[in-house]
Amino acid sequence: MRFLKALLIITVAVAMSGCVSWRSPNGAKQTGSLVDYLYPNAKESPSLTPSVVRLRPPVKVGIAFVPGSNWNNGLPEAAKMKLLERVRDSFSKHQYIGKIEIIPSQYLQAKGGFTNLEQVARMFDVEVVTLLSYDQVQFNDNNALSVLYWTIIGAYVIHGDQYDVQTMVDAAVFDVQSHKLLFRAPGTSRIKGGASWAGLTEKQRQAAGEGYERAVDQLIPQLQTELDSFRERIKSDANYQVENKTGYNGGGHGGGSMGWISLALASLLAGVAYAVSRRA
Amino acid sequence: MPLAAVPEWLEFDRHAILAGEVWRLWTCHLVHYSAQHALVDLATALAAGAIALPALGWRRLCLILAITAPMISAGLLLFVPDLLYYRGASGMAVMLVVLAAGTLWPRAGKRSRAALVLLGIALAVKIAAEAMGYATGWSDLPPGVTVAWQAHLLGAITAAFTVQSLTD
Repeated sequence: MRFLKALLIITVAVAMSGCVSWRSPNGAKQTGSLVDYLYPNAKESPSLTPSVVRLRPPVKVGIAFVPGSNWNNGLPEAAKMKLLERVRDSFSKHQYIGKIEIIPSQYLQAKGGFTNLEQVARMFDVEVVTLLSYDQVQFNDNNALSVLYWTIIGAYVIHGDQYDVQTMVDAAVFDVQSHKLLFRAPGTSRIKGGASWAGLTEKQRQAAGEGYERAVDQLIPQLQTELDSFRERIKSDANYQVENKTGYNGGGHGGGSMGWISLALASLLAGVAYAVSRRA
Repeated sequence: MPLAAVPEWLEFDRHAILAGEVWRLWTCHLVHYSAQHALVDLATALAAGAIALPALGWRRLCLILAITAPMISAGLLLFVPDLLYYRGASGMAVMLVVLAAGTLWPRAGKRSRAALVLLGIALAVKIAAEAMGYATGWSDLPPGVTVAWQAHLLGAITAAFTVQSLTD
């Protein structure tokens, strides 16, 4: 009987510890790597021949997400669209940007390289492509309080787990013809927190969404700054040659033009002046 | 320096002004994008200037022009960050039209005042139409150059202040 009791206690203890150890205290990673997409299976660094990048404003820009292995499962479609639209809005504020095309992810092949990028650019008739990539790493560990999970109730009320979600969103702008990176803008965030064993998954999911939002919030102003500084840089950088397309005058040009209507207003004024002079 | 490059040295160039080329605050009102653009702007400015001249005199008129020209340009520099380049005398022309109307107002009879009010309304409607992008039909600017309606508004505001200070 004693033996049976001891066996029962050991069995229950092992079963309960099993509950706790079902979830491994490590982490997860979601990524869509720009390098993997543009330089697949690269064993040597890419050799870029020095060349002059020709930009012809108003420049036609495409915006796309870099395809990734588990990328499409990692981020909701709504969040992807939100980022694409915000990036599009950033570009549309500038007169030297012509049409802006959002390129669906399905058109980009994983590890497609510049060959795939050129095909897509031809299809959507764009000269410059902004590739958005996303890297999120989630870590979770137990802390000292996790020992209270043995009480079962503790697994629901005690915050014995801690998580750390690190996110990086990156926008890299490439000239399709020369394969040259024109500029890039990053957005990063880090969110830490604690949760009970039962609530960890939900908390981590919320933190992942929040981390992404924060990274995007940081990315957009960075992208604006980079766009402005790039516009200034190309004025003095010999590696860039800017030739306006026919009918485009450079943007930001304003004319103080009165138009022919103003001559009618001036005539009216002259008539009043004549009447006033006669009255005097 | 080739003659064709002269307008580029005189036009309103935001970055050049901020880098210290302050003469552009005055000279941007003297250069234009085309002969037609220059003709219409200068004809309006000359007509309005000629009407204001008897009441103000040469000295005071020149002083007003010298002070209001950089004020309009500085207003564009401060309040219109997207405007990188500007050429044209229309800001000054609007200033002179409002100034001329202001000098006529005290001596004008009922009918003349009604005409001046009509002129003010027409000018306000014109600037509003330009701000809403309806100006392309009557603009004499080349393609790619938009009407800087803010210069017209600033011209009207500086003229209103000038008239106010003259009557005080």
